[in-house]
Amino acid sequence: MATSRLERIGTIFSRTEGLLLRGAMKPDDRPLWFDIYKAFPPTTEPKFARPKPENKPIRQILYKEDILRAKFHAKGHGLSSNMFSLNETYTKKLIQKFEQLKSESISEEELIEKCVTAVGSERQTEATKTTTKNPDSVSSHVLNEANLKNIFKE
Amino acid sequence: MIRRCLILPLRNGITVCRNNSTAVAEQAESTQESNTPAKNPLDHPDYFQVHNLFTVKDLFDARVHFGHKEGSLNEFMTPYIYGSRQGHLIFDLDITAEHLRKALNFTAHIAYRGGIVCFFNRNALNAHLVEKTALECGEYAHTRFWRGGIFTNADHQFGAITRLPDLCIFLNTQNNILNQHTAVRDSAKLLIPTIGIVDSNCNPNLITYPVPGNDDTPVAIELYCKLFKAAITRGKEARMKFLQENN
Repeated sequence: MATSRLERIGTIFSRTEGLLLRGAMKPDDRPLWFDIYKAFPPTTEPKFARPKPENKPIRQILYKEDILRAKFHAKGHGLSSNMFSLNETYTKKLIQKFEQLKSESISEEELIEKCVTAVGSERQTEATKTTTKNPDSVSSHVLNEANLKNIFKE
Repeated sequence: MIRRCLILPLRNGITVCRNNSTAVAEQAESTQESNTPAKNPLDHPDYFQVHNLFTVKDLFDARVHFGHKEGSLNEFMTPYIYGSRQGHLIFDLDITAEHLRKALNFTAHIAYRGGIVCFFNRNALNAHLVEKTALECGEYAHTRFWRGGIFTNADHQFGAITRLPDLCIFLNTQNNILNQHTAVRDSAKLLIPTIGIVDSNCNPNLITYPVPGNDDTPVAIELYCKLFKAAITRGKEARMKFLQENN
């Protein structure tokens, strides 16, 4: 099959079409994809030499709650994340708490502190809470009796 | 149709199955007209119904929208970018979906016409998945080091006249972070159409049907593999049906 190997000139379609038009390639020898390409051409012509797209500045994706996030993060809260956990992140919990407590008429500083303490204590209780699959098992009895919070106290 | 293919001698380096020659096509059309009231698959905008293979939500769940960081952006990828979140580029999934549907449609049509499809991928993490997909849909994969000349000097490399693939699907178009896969260039040289998942740091110019999207994450690659496999299977099923009806 006659081909032109100059891949930087035109497209695969235009090169094949040229060969067909000039008789270098017989219509019966046209590649399998030729008719499909003709029926469904790609959105942009796959030319190697094409003008660069106009230089538009990239839009920054920002959300309203980013301001709030920044305020929490500036004080060092909600910076940690556990990628193994499928639960909501610490920051998300803080923001949800903030939305709940927003109606209270106290200053933003105090509100942030209040959210941090509230969410912090919630996390503490979650961390110490242990559950077993079978409530009748020996291990669940031992776990229920154990005082995990004061495990190191005499 | 199959008989014709077999009789034809392999004359040159690239032999093309002539089941798409004008003569056969006319014949096929006339036989089909007598059976059913219709149609050349090419007249139908979506003959294999590939549009229902996925939704934009599926793309989002598979993390197709994540690009690389702003600094590594290829200028030719700017039209496909939605924006930047804290320095990380995000693809516009509406544009991606449109491109992916075109690519799937093209794949299904190639499979329908009995073309050979070859999957490419140079990411070791996803190599097995890609090879398995190719095996499952009865096609080919090349996920290892590319020896120069596999396409361009095929007859000498393999010691016999070689039929090259009719479609190359690149699940990632880069060899490493710096260089483009040589097969992208070689396919363009040898008039083989290509489909490629192009990330924000890749050059889409030589890819016939570029699909802007994440080409690193295994979940995303899994989705692409599933979709291309489904498109090929649909094309092949339609082909089998057509051959049974017309033989």
